[in-house]
Amino acid sequence: MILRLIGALMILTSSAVMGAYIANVYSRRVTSTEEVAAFIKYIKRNIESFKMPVADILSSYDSEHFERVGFLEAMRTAGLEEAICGGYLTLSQAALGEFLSFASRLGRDYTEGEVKRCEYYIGVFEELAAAEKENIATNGRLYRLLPPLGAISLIILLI
Amino acid sequence: MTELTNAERAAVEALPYRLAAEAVNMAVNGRIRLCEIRLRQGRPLTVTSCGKNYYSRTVLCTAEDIELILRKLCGNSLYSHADTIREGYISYVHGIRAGICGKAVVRDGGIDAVTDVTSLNIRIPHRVRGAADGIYNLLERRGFSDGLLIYSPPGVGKTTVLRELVGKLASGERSHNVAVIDSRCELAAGLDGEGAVDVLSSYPRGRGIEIAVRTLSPDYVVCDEISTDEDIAALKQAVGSGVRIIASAHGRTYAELMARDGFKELDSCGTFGVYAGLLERQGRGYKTEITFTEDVTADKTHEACVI
Repeated sequence: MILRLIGALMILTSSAVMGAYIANVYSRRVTSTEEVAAFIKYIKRNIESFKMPVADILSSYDSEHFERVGFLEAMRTAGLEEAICGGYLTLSQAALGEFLSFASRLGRDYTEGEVKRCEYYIGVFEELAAAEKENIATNGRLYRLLPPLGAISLIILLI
Repeated sequence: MTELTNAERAAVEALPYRLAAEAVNMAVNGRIRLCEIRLRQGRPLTVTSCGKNYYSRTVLCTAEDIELILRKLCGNSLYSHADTIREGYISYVHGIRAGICGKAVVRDGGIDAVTDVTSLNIRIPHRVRGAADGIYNLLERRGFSDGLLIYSPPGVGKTTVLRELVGKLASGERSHNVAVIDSRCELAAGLDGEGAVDVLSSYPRGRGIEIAVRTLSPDYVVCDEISTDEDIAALKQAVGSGVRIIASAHGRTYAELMARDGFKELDSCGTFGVYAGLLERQGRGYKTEITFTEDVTADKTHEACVI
């Protein structure tokens, strides 16, 4: 009986932890995706209005989220592409691919082309952020339910 | 040649390793200064020194090489150099200027952009101390009262002579206030801390001349490669305000210059008292054909001599 209880407890605890972790990942994905969209908006504004060189744009950008996760530091020291590949941001595979594709072509075109590309990627990331929010609304809620469900199951088991 | 200058090093560092190593080898083994590095798609790397081309026997430039170099020269921000690219060049550090050749995108009759770049000519400025001594002594003998036009075909050394002349005029006991209009960020390379020099960097020539005259009260205004109607108009205006002009222009002979309306106009209003045509290098200096405009009134005489 004791062994059964321990086994059940382990299953319930791990599912609760996993649920909490995945729910957190979903939440961070939304934040990171929205931050990337804001970052690209900043790049667009500086290219369009000031024709500021890429290095100056990267060194002048400030974001609490990027700083907290270490992305800002990595971007300033190793460059944008390296920072994206460094795994500092919690992004979906699709968002990561898009961000890398944006970064790899940054600075290679004239103002008009750069602005159009920025606009395109702002749209992409806004859509991705909306999709991530949708994910939270459906899957995230399910995962969040796991810890309380686990607790209830444990109580029932112990009665 | 013992070692590369800062400008040479910066130019070489802008090249991919394969090309950089070859350029350094050519300079060191050939004991030459790197004056130009020419990169043409599918052609051997070429370096130019003192007007002579040296071709690499082993290293060819690829389209990828040219794209990489272009990105490096632009600081990975092509858009921020769009204005000068439209004019056919990119200004880089240490007064290095890269001429660009590619496909022009024309809009409303003007060049909107340049794409598919197929060749680059990286020009590396050098200080040649003493290159302008002859011309400086001549101006001194005439009491520094004349304007001066230096002319020669491209690549002979107008900018070098002009740079050295600025250095001499602005320093020493008899230093003059010199305003340098450096539209292409090339003329003032290496003139840092060279005495009474004010550098208007990247200004359009006409506008720069106007601003220098109005705000800097210079003894001399110096500008490189005057050619357009705006340049001519701005120079005429500057002369009217009593400033002496030192400039350079493309041309083989004095007669050829005077066949061009703009220069004829400048000559008729006495902008330049001395014309110096650079013929060829002679040691550190240049064999120079000098033409004096003695009288700025109707009957002027032109007296030519070689120094």
